[in-house]
Amino acid sequence: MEKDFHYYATYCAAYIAGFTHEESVRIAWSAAFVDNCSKTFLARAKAPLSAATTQLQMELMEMRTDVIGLQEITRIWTSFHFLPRDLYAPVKGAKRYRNKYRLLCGPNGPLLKDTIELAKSSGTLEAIGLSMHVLADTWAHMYFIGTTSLVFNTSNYHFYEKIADGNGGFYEKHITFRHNPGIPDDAVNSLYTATPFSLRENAVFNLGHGRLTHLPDYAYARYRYMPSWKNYEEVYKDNPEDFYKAFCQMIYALKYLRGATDRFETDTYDFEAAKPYEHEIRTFFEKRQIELAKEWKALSLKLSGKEFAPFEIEPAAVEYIDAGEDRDNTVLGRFIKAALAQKSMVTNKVFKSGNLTCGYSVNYEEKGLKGIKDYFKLLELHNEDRINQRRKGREQ
Amino acid sequence: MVKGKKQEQDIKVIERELRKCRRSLSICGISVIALGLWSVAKAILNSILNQTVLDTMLNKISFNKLPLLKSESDTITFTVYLTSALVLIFELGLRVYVGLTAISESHGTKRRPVYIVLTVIIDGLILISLLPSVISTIFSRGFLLTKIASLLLDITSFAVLTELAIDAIKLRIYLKRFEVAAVSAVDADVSGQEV
Repeated sequence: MEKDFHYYATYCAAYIAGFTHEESVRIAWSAAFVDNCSKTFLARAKAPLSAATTQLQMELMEMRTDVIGLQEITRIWTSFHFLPRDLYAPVKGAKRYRNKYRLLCGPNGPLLKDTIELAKSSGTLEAIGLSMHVLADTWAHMYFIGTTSLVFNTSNYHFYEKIADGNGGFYEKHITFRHNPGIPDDAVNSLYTATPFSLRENAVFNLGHGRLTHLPDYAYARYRYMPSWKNYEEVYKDNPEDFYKAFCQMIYALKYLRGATDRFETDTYDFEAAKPYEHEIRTFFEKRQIELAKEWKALSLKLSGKEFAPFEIEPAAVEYIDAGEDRDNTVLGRFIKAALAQKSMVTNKVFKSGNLTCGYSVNYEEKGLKGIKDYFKLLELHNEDRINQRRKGREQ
Repeated sequence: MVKGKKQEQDIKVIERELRKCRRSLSICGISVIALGLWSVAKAILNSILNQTVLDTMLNKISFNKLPLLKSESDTITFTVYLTSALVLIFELGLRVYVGLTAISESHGTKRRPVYIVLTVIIDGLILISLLPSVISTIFSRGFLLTKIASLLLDITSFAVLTELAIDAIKLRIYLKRFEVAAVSAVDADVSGQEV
């Protein structure tokens, strides 16, 4: 998803779900921050580097694509942007193919439920925001994997965009991707910039949906193409419909996270709550525009009557550095804890399914290990929570 | 099953097979042209680097029990080269025609099945020439690796042409099935019943 959806749409969903304006802003900020929490930023803020939830282009250029480097890339992108739908999907093929196939991102998988439950158990608004980013990306990044793969993440000449003709019908246009990073994508003329083609399976250019540019993230895009893993079958992606479902699912999940409902089930959406705004939102999604920030901002103002600042990351870093010993109780501190927990959970689930693309995952408590510096912090904070819960239990 | 659903699924399956055939046909078409160019290159390199063969042949030929004059051997050499060149050009032309027609058919243009017949003929000729190649490779006294490489390419050429013929025939069969399935889907829609 683009920043407009992660920031403004998440705010709108949170407000509709019953959070206050201030809470919704914090949730929205965390959701958008997942796309900005890189190692470069964390190093400047003197924060644990393992909490990185994204990688900048320059960081990716410097990454080694040996086994260790690939596992590091996969851990980040799979945990936060390309949550696998089915880690046990039945598939015939060699182990390497099978492992990558099982990383295919899609909505409504068991890992989504785990992500929401993890956010519920942490209880912080930052964890909730992070989980909303993950949820939204399962819709936008469907059919891609969070690791480098020429086979899974590229398309060929068979690529057609379905464009509304203004009379209620559609016509199709053949799309070719260019590699011209200096020129922005042109939605009106269907010109999109992709990463350059590389024959190497594990080239960094073949990470995620880079070979299709940002097209999967554009709300107006409807297209069909033939991914190689589908054995000559076509895949049709209808972003306006999918993004609306993502919005409604966010409202449903946020209601559960707020405590308004008892349970969270996958493939369930709160269409009722979004109904008063459905026409407006669907109109946004039909606009052939790269960014819809203005439209979402107008809707957020209509919902709450309150404006809020555009998305910025520097104040969080400043607050974190200035907090000293109490940095874990800052916005960034709580976000870092949520990110570490999410990354641990997903990596562990992938490892337990017999898939080593994210590397080895150790349950430190079971094994009695201290762990590396960053995850030791996670253990400490986790143990503190458990001790506090036991105390509460005894007192009751 | 819901009315028309079965027909839709059938159409999807046929469309998938059509895409597979077209892709395979396109690749085989390109390969046929490439291997044709290889045959020409092989022949040219053989004639440039292997002149002793022709010289040995000419030395064995005599006219009225007399050795050939220079002008006569030159004429024979020229004739041999000219004939070889014409045969090579003809063979290359056939392969390029077959390859380009296959590529064109894979892109949806309807072509006459003449090229399929030619493919089968060329395939048969390659098969016939494979046996002497195998024998020559087994009993060769020198240049074994070169002969093995050449044999492998001949086998590849045979396989590619076979694949091309099969894909071209499959494409026609699936196109017919697609027309039938499309018609029955329309009928199912119109009548409201499963056909």
